[in-house]
Amino acid sequence: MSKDVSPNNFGRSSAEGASSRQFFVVSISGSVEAAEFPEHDELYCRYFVEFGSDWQIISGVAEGMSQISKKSKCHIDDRQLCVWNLPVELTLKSTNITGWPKIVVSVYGNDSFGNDVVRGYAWSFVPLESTATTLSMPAFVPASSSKLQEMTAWFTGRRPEFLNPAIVVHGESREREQILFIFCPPMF
Amino acid sequence: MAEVHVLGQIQGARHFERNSLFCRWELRTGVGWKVVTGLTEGQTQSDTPSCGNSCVWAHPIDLHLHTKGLQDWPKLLFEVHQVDKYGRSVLAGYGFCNIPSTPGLHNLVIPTWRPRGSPRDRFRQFFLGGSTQLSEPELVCSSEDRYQLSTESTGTVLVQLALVTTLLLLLGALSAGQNATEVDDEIVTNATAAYYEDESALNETLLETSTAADNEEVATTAANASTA
Repeated sequence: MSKDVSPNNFGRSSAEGASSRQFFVVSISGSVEAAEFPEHDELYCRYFVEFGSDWQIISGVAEGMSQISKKSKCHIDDRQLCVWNLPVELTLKSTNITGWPKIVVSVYGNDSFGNDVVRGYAWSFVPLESTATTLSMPAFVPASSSKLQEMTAWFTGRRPEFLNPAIVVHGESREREQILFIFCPPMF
Repeated sequence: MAEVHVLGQIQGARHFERNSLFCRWELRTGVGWKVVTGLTEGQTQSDTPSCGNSCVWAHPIDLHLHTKGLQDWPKLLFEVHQVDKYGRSVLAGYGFCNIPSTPGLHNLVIPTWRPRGSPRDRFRQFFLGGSTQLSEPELVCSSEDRYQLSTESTGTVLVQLALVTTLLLLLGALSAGQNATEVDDEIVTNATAAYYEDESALNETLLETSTAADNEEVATTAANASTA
């Protein structure tokens, strides 16, 4: 993913009176490339970019959903990736570094009964450097709080998931979550 | 006057004995540092890896700090705990790291340790579980004598931090000129205004604050600061 930040291009939006707010522009262009989940197949992802209240979108969309991808059948390809290549294009404007954009990726798939269940959540800050970077984000999924719930969830397909995936980028109240970590990351 | 933005995450941990882990973290800053926005402490989720040996927490650290001096650089303290199969939490390790001082991306690997109790304590822990803890966790990041303490090494915590700094180089130049570690408010205001408006005014402000003996050194630092 390559990103272009121009901290020297300070624009001055002039207002009446003496104060002028300086803003800077961050342009993000990249893609959610692939995921490596050893235990699951036929996955799709949704991503969204979360940013602070001082930030505004100038162009592009802050969310997207990919196609459903199956791993390669080629026997010499041992990477076992679900490839999406979902483009991410967004330009933001802000006066404040606080609230720097973060990208949250949620991966879903079908279980053996055909229900759509969540397979993992991952997030990362959008890189600060303007060079092309590949991010590897390890993913995790909420675990059931008891064995009974785990069994019920397996039968009915109603696994624990986050009501709002944005909770993964907030630091408050995470101690109540019990998480099962699915090792390998979506690459970005 | 100088601002430091810390954007990152506590990624996870590895090389611990058992793998259901969570971490309590805390930011320690000195006098003169102010936290503008962001949480300064928290507790991560407790994570069990389904494959591999590394726990993933991905806990966000999003801080905006403000300082008028360069001493007492902020530190992050970590306390890693294991969750055993009965749901009890047992201390797995203490660790700390300094927040980096250069802008850019930093991958920090923080080794942790925990106190060993007496042989009697260890015998008891073998059968009943539990661990020895410090009665004063401040010891982890202070430079007091620790030679009475016997510890064992445990795993490592992985943290990734990206740092953005504003006017830090200028703060260093002003501190050098004044021969002080904290800078007067008035000089700060004048210098900041000069920095954004007029570079020649900036050089004048910096030269005014220096003593006769340090003139040359400050002028060089000021020239470096304004071109950086």
